[in-house]
Amino acid sequence: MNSSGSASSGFEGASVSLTDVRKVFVSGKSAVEALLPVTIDIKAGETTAIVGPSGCGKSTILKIIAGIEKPTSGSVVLRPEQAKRQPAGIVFQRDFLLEWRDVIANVILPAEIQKLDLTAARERAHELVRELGLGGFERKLPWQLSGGMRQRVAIARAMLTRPPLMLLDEPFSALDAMTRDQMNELLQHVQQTEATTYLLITHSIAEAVYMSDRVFVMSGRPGQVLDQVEVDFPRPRSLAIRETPEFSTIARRIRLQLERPRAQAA
Amino acid sequence: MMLPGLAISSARRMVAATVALALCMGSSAQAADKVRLILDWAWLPYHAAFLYARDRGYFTEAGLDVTIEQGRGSATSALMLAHGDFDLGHINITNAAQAIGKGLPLKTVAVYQHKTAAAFIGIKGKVKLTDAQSLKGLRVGSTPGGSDQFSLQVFSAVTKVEPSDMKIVSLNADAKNTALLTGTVDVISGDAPAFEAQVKAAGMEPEVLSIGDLGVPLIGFGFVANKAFLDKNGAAIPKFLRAARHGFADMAADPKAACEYMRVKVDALTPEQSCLIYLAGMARLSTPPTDPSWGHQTDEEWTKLVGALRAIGQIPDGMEPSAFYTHEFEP
Amino acid sequence: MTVETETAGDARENHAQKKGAPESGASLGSIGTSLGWPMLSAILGIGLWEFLVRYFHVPIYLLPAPSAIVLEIQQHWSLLMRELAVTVGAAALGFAISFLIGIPLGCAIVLSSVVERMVHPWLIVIAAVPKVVIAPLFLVWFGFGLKSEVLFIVTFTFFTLIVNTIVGLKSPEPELLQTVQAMGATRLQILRKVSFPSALPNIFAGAKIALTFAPVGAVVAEFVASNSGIGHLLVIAVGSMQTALAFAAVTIFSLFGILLWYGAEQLEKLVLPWHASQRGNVQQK
Repeated sequence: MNSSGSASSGFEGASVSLTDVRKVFVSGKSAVEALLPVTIDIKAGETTAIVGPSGCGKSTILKIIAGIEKPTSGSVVLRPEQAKRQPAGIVFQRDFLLEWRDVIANVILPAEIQKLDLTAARERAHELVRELGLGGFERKLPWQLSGGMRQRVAIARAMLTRPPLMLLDEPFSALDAMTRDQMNELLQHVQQTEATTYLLITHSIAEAVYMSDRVFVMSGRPGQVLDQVEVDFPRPRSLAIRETPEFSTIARRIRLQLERPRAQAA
Repeated sequence: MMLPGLAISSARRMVAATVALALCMGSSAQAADKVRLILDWAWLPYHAAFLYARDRGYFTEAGLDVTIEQGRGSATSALMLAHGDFDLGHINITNAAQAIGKGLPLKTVAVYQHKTAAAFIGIKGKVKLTDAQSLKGLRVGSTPGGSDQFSLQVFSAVTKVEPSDMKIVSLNADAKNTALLTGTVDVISGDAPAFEAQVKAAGMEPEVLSIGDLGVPLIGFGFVANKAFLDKNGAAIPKFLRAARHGFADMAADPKAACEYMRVKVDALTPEQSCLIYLAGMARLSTPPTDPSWGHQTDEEWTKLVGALRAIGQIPDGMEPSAFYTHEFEP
Repeated sequence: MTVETETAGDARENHAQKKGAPESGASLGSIGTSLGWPMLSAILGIGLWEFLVRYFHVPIYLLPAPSAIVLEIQQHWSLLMRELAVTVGAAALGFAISFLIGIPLGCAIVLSSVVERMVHPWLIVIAAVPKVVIAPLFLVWFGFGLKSEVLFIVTFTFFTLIVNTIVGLKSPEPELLQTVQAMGATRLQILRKVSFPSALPNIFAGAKIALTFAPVGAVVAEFVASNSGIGHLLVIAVGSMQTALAFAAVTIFSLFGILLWYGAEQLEKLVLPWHASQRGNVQQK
């Protein structure tokens, strides 16, 4: 299963270190401070979540890591070196699929763009599609799929080239609660075979804790890191762990952090 | 055609000379003069004359290779003639004079319709058109920018009946018939033969007041040449005119056959009755083709025309009538 | 597994939702209903026209009855077809040139802001000048015939094509373009793989409009600058008060236009099955 993309076997994914990264948005005369200097360490091979209220700059962090935005100050370091050559796999809240391409054609888009071997890419696309539970829908067009299915295609597309970094910006926020749970469980399963570094942005505490190995808690605008929590459940994880006391403890700790600034303001 | 500097045997020289002579003879036999004719409008009954001249070999006999293109109004045809796209134009001479007055490099070479066809046409019983004064107070349909707006101006200058004495209604050329027949206007300004035919075709009798009868010195159809063509190949013009005259004669001799010929040859769709009325109306205004003076212009008619046009500001003061026409190429 | 259920069931459900209420009856039945009402309406309209003309004894040079028009079409069939062929040929050529210049130029404008700023004012000029004024000028500049006619058709159809192309190329959302850019795409790749396919519905819309404008432009040009084609036939017919023939020419021309439009729509269905416009809406019963 080593067709396209990865530098060497045993490669677990990149690590990303953000040090004192600050972002100010300037428009005309006004300047909005989106991020106070934040320092975040994303460890290689781990799933890291950033959870926080809307507008806290978590999406901005993702965009800075992806290279779509530039930080006003601070440093972003990607390791190892070869990881910089391969684009990260990105999944946004909206799937941004190409409506005129079927599922497989959508999934292989990154390979086309990066001029990789398309036969291998197609094989890999078929694998991913099956892994993500879309077997039988390969020739379907996006309009024929449900929201959850479309988002899975977007995830497969992001995973195609085995990127050293997978960036997911609120990927399931647009889905209903039940579908969301299903997607959490599915992705969590798939991560077993598609091992790399994952960064998940979310405003759902439960999702953050369930999915990740480490959670960064962020305050509202201007964003800063309030807390860093390790999540130690063994993998693969079933949805049932959300009802365990240990889970509740962690979730509560995060919730309190998020509620505090509001209480202070009041 | 000697080949200088080369030593050729006398036999070869003979061959060369013979070939050269044959070529020269051949080319002068094939040297039919090219004449590109533009008409005043798309196919109309009186164009049969030209088709006859072409198809019955009158042009070829005269050593001419004539192409005929339909026009879209005498003014436009004059412009294209001046451009050099064509050599000769069969157009309304009043329009031609206006064009020449504006500086277009054209010269009139023949006139066969010394009286203008411009007239006021109404429906008998609905209006009475006895003289110029009888137009006062009537609704008159006229095409702005067309030649009848301009005949109206000369008419007013001569008869002193002003446009303000009438109710001038602007109409598109195609709408004039319908406007007259439905009573939207009392009278239309236009060419008598055409509109007589159309009123009759609708089952009514036309009431016509020809402005030519009122002492208005406007001229009808004739032939105009591009000046450069005159200088380059003027000799072809009288040959052309004589051949054309033959065609006109054929047309005058048997109008019915002419109408049929147009129908068959170019899908000219005027019904026979209308076609005959149209041809008769045109013939009334024209010199008979059998008359030896067909196509000849008089200095007097030109002086009058130029004077009338100058009076309404269509021709600048400096220009003499002689700038507009020449007798040199009359048939 | 819960995942499996979501896939199959959800998809079917969503599919049904998107398609709207299920259509009743076999496909033949639905063709019947889709053609039935328009045909009935046409028959009633034409019948009324025929009746009114006869009842009020409207003269034929004013408004011919449908029966007179049909007679004319029969009588002059080969003439009408011949002239229609000329008009259609010119229209096709003019449209093709417009298309072949308009689409690439649209792409160039979207790729380069310099090109956009230089070309933009000329586009406005072409759009703003009344075309009726242009045709006589073309006659004087280019003479009678195909050259004037085709050039006129190009000016008549160009604006629609290029504007729709540009709108279409600019239609993808910035985040979509960002997503593809993040994959490492160059500007040209984005144009080819995202912007251009995205633009096809708009380009088709523009092309359909231009396709119906082209024959109209041909006829307008022929009124003034050509001695063949339907426009020229109309000049002669109207000039000799052959109103029935003029109507016949217009009828044939319109029928052609309708066929052309339907043809374009079918082609669109083939090329753009993925677009919302082709998928139909919820039908009222």
